[in-house]
Amino acid sequence: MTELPIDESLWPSPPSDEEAEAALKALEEGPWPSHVSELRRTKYPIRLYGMGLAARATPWASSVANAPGIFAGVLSRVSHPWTRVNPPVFEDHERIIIPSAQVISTLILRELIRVSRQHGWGLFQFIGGTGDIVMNVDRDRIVEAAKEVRRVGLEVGGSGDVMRNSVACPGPLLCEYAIYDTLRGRDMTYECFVDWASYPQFPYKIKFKFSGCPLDCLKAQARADYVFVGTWRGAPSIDEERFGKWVEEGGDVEGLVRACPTGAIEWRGGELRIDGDKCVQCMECVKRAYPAISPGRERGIRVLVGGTIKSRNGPKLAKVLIPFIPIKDPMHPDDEIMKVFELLKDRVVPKWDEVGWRRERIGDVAIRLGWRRFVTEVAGLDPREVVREKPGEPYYMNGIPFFIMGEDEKKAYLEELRGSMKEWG
Amino acid sequence: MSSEPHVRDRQYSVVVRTGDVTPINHPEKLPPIPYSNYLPSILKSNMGKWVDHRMITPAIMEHVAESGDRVFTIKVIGPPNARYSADTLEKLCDLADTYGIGLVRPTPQGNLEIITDREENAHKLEEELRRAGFLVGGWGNHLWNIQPCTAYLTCTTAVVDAPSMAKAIGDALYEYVYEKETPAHLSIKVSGCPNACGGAINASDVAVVGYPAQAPVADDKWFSQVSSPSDVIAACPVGAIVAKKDASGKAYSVSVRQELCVACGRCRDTTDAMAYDPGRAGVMVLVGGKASNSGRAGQLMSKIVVPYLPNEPPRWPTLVKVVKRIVDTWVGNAERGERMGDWVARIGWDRFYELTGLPDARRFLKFTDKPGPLYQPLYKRRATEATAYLFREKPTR
Repeated sequence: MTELPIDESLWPSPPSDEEAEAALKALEEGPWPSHVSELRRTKYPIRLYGMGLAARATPWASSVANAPGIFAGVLSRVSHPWTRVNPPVFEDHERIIIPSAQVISTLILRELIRVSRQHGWGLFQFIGGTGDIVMNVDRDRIVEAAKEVRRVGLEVGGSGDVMRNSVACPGPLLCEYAIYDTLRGRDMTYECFVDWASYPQFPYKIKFKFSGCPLDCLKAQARADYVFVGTWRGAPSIDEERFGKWVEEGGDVEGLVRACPTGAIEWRGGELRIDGDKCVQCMECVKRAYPAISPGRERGIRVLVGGTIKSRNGPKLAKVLIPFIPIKDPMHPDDEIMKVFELLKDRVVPKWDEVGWRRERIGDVAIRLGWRRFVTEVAGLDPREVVREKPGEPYYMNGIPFFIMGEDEKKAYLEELRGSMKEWG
Repeated sequence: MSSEPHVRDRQYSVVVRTGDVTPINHPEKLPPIPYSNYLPSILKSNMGKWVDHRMITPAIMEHVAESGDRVFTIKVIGPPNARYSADTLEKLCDLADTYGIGLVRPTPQGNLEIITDREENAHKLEEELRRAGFLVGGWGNHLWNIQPCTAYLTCTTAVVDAPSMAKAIGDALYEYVYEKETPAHLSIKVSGCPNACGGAINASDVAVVGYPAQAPVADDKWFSQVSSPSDVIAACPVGAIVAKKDASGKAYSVSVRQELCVACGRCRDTTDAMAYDPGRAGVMVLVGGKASNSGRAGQLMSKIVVPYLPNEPPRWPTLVKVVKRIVDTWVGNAERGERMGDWVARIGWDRFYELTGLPDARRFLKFTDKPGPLYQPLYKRRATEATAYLFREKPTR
């Protein structure tokens, strides 16, 4: 037997086939859809996953595949030496960038299914955090698969230290609250920065996300470096006629007034008034009484920076960089978004590239430099315009800190937990 | 039932790029085809002109446009980690062609939405999907989905397995997808390590995060083959990693100073040659984050409410009980429209621990909410180091 490249005392010993199979079987029961039964329908080496579950360690190690010309978008794995799988199993996948709206016609999907069967394992991961479809391919067919994907109008990309695929919420495509055309915004970013998306050249990854309204279903503020959120200034607009109808139909006006977090809504003598100075754009009244109450007339975009999870300082929410850019035509916000892009392209990103440490995202640079210094030095803006606390403005916090619990503390905690669990029944 | 024939919209087609698309000849990414090419006319003509939406059943959402056009979206809950086999997708494509307008929309939550333009087709689709064994539902005030990261399926840095956690929790909370209603929408994220690819753990109602709960150990034998010591040293946010040098002064591996390590896992990201003891690793549960500006509290960061639960794949009995307890308590006590974070903001954390019966996590957490020690002024950093050294975990062996 050949000697393993690893120190065997540090890694788990490979479990038997029975143990692995038992762990997999346990995941096929129950009403929730099972990934194991789904994976069994493909060429995925499911035994390896079972071994990982039984040994409680990941069965994969990093690997590199030869994919000439593809600098971002292909990720490779090999079975970890501790699994002693001989010959080693390779796992390669491509990230496929799909259209903005994340709407796919079945024609294209069938094409992808064909490519995946022909060149890969017949397995997809639909939309990871990056907004791409992940397709497993055979190691020697990576380039063929990428070519076929390019043929049908899609593209492989979005991994490594590049600009990742930017994601937009469905916005005007399916949602009535959308304040600007998020899909257009996303298409524009990607087109402008194709170079950033092609070649790894930054300290770490860059992510853009476009949210149509302050509800932020996309969780853009928590997940992207550069966030564009649709918002408005002043009070939401009220359509008197429709509102009268809404009240007649049994709309709960009292509840509406009570739901306002800042008490900006007044209901007096059959007339509804919303105080624009108090409004924090929480969308509560809009949600309850749309279309009688809709986002205000003075619409715009708010740009936030630095909300990331995977980074040096742990998870954090994004902070407002530009509080408000008024937009003239919500369905064509080209000029306004372009103006921000220029700022990012000429100042923020090059500066981050210069001062950022390795594996440090823009939010970490902001923490390291301090927000005021970040605004003046990196973004080149007047801090008086930006650094101000307004009620309801998305605030910034340092993330969930990591910690280690001692073994005694763990034991004490679990004991206490088991005690109270008995009462739950 | 209307009797007019149903003319299916077939205006979109596959866009084919001709010419040489070999990556080595064109390494620059090709710009995407404009999204409008992929849209059927019913969506294109109503862009930005929607006026209302209505939940017909927990599986069907109706959108109404100004022009009176109506679109129905049926949500299929995906398997953990949104893993779909080609066979399953083909089945869904067939259904989308038969009853829908030939359009599917994968969502960031890992669901697959099928779009149709007729109400009776939507109901038929729901029935067909259920008959084919899919789980449908999750619109409105329901459990949207449980979104795990890839973990042991492909990830090299995962500490614990996430898809199995999602499956186990899903089996326990299955009713909230369709039968039972929750006070507001509920989304659960599951991550195998503190990198949290499973989704925004800082802004989700319930987040389960696996973490090593121990300082890693470098595999000296393997280290120099797969990584460079300086990269790993640079990755550490607290400066706990130092090089191990051989007699000639050349660094061949690293060692981790136990008393400083915060177990963030960033060294494990950089190289595979760092090992953990799986018996000491575990998961924490966070509660009450949201990115939405709604409610009284606005955006909220999640808070740790369960600092440590044991690592028990594949069925995670303790974790499932704890998560179910938290969700059930919220469902039983919150007002309508109140998300987890809003509910806790109203009742306070003391009451939260009282209601759920969980041990108060604040007694067990010893950290500041300041960023990592490297970003603190030097005198503070020294203080942190000294405290860490004084209260370090004594080696058991």
